[in-house]
Amino acid sequence: MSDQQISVFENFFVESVEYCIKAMTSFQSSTSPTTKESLNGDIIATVGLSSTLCRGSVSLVFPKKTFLKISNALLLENETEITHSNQDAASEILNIVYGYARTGLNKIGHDFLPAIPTVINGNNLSVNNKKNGSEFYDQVSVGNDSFYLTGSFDFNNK
Amino acid sequence: MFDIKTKILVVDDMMTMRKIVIKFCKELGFTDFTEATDGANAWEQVANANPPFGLIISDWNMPNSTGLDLLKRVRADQRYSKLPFILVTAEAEQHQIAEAVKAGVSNYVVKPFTLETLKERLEAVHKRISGAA
Repeated sequence: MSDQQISVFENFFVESVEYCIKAMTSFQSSTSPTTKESLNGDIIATVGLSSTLCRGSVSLVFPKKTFLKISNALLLENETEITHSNQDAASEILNIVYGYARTGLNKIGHDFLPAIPTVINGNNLSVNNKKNGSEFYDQVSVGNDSFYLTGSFDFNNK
Repeated sequence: MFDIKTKILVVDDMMTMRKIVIKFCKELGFTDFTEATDGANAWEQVANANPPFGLIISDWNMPNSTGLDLLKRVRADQRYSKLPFILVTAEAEQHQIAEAVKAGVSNYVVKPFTLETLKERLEAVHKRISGAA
């Protein structure tokens, strides 16, 4: 059951990422499953989520080059580094992605509440999702660059 | 449409979204912006503004004091009962929209949004205000 549930969640978030990136930057993106080991980036936005039926987290992992490509398009800037000024774009992107996915998930019976993402930046960061949770890992391609989407959930009816 | 000299208060805890809203408003010709990072900070700005703001564009989901809290506070004060107030939200759920309408929101924009969407909402608000005047 949890495999089916995590697939449903993954689909909502994949659809949301592709829609939001297109709407905010005009970049067309495509998503494909990937492995935990491939997730590596320089800035991560993560948000903890809970509903009556489950709890978990969703993260976006951006390599610096991809992040600057997206944040510069979003803000009409020309930054060459991740700065205090542009880093919360990662948080806002996840905020919007979650808001869009949440609307869809709540329509099918969940009751997720709004949540505020956290941003972490550094070098060669990775995400270790909760052990024994149901997980998904996706690579989001934006032209020749990529970033990553991952989620991990515990379902109460597992 | 609103006069381009309209004094606009942009409220969001995220610098990115404040930049996007201001960028779009500048493209529409507006020039006078004040920023606030949450509802409480925004209320101080509203209460101390001289001349007063002509428009508030506020995020909904913020720590400390939300956009809905700010809206209720603004509407509770007779001086600002008709101040145009647009909520920007990542949530498009009907019950939330109904709550905002009940609290007196002038219009709302669901993220992600485009310049055209914001322009349409601003025109709709201005048309309603002009009609009511």
